[in-house]
Amino acid sequence: MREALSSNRGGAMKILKIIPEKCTGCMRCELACSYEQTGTFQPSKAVIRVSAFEGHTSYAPYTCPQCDEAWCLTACPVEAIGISPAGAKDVADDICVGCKLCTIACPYGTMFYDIDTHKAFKCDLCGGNPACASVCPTDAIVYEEADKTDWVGPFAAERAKSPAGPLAGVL
Amino acid sequence: MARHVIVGGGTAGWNAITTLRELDQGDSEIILVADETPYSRMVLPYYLARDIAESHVYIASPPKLAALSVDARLGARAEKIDASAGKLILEGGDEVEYDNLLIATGSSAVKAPVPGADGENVHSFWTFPQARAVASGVGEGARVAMIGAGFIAFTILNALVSQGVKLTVVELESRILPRMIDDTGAGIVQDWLNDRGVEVRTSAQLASIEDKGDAKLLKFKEGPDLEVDLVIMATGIKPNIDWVAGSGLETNQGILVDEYCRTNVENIYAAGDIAEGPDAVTGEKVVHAIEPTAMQHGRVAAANMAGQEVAYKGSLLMNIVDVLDMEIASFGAWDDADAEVFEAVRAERPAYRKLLFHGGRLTGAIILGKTREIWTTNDVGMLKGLVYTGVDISEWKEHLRENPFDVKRAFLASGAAGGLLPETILGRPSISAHEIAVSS
Ligand SMILES: Cc1cc2nc3c(=O)[nH]c(=O)nc-3n(C[C@H](O)[C@H](O)[C@H](O)COP(=O)(O)OP(=O)(O)OC[C@H]3O[C@@H](n4cnc5c(N)ncnc54)[C@H](O)[C@@H]3O)c2cc1C
Ligand code: SF4
Ligand code: SF4
Repeated sequence: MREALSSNRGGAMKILKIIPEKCTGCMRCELACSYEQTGTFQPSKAVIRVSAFEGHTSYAPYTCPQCDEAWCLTACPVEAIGISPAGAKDVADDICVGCKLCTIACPYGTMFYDIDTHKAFKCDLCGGNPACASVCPTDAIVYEEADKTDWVGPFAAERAKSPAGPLAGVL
Repeated sequence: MARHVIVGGGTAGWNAITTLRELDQGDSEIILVADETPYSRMVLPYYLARDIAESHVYIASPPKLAALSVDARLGARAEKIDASAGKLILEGGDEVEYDNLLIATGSSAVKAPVPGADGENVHSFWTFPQARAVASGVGEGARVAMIGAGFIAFTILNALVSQGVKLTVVELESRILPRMIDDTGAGIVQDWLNDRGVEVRTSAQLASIEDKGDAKLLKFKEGPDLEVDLVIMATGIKPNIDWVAGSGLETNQGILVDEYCRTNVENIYAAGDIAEGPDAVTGEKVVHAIEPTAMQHGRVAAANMAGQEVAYKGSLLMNIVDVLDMEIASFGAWDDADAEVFEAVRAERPAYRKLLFHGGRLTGAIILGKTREIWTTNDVGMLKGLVYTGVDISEWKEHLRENPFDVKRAFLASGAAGGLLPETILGRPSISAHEIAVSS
């Protein structure tokens, strides 16, 4: 059993690496994500979401970092969240009861609730071929083996200190 | 082989079992003493709504317990602890020796002490049998009185309305959800309910429940009587603690535990609603009586029982509840009179945000708004992250004072995510529940 388990243990896994400096705010990732996830173009249901900084002169996409000891997974009272072959924490719709405990457990704000299906939803890495990374024209989102790190934090902190300051670009 | 004895198979007990097996793959003896087959109480509202079958409520069936090599004594009740002999004594006199003992006996519902409270068609909603009794009594047009407007009452409100009942919520205090949101939030929710045909009576003290033919007649200290078909008592809970008296365990409201979920008695741990453990924001020991705390206690206790020396910083008090498509969540010390408070209401949506600060640190938050709108933002989880980490967001404070609705960029710039990513309780990545197994 130990061997089987090791497939999910840290180590090499492809993740969504985000390079916010390259993001132009075109929002294609949000559209592609919502289409892949729901079959319709509704950015409000995208699980990757772009924020504006400095009065809409710079942008950063943000999504679930697939954290290692997943808060959402351990919080679920019915064990509806598992780990997919791609290494994504993934909600099984037929088990989820829609209690939203995972949404308050996840401290990254990347677990959502779908009012139409009454289920929790999150980034599942599109089964290993993430739509956001495929459509990003500037490679601000790339799907590759990389460290799970705070890709957006330093960029956002730097923008907050700019002359325009945090007050700029309220979305 | 170490022998772990676990009393209670609810959320805390079950998480302890899976964590032990995650860590030792079967390399220990586990005895579960539980008067109920393991299930999670918080799934009961979805059963009441007829969204899920009875089988869905159980998290572990006897075969699943056997597969995890758990010696499950289902239907057995623990009666006493003989700590000096390292023994648990069961009702009926059986004795079980332990190397480590985990007490996870949860809490029970308490009915308002009024004449008629024990009559027919007056139910608590805490256990599976109680949920079944309520489920069989509700249907289209049934008149139901919910006594108590606390969090638990609200978790079943949607289910009741979905079954077509005519619901009246009765609260002793002057407002609803007194321990989950503040006056402003409660006012918004109360209007929301009234607009959707749910009657709310606040400052109403129930005096008695009488039979009137097949119906129930509720009498109050003041105000008109209320005739209904079924009464649900959501009037509070108390920890199942009486049975540990005389064991030498230090208790207050619950059994006191430290950051390892250890009690004052060697080799005895406590977890969940029964345990009074550290709060992540205040550091003080409290009984949270919520599911996420029970889960964390169970995991931390189990790791230490398995010999891992895992201390954790405490659990965060948090709740979320959906009331007829309005989302209400609160985190941490949202009711702190000493905090600096920034709040804003958007009456037309409606939406409400409240942020509580100590210096540059967010120590509590309330978020409320239409379900359809809340999840277009990342704010629920980000507020949790900010309160839980206590990361310094001084630079954003002035901005948030004016714009309490704009937490996302403050969260991103705070570096909270970077601080969280290496943080784990057990020091290892999660695995899917179905991968937890004993090695043969
Ligand atoms: C309707 C409802 C909705 C809820 N919704 C939410 C929610 O949305 N969010 C949230 O955070 N929390 C919610 N809760 C609360 C949550 O379910 C509890 O906090 C959680 O179950 C606590 O887990 P526990 O393991 O400590 O106790 P329990 O789940 O109560 O388990 C304790 C077990 O021990 C058994 N036991 C007791 N004494 C003995 C004994 N002497 N010997 C043997 N066995 C014994 C009990 O029968 C029980 O099976 C809800 C509860 C209810 C009833
Ligand atoms: S949704 Fe949140 S808790 Fe779950 S894997 Fe992603 S970051 Fe972690
Ligand atoms: S909303 Fe679904 S996935 Fe999330 S904790 Fe509840 S049951 Fe589990």
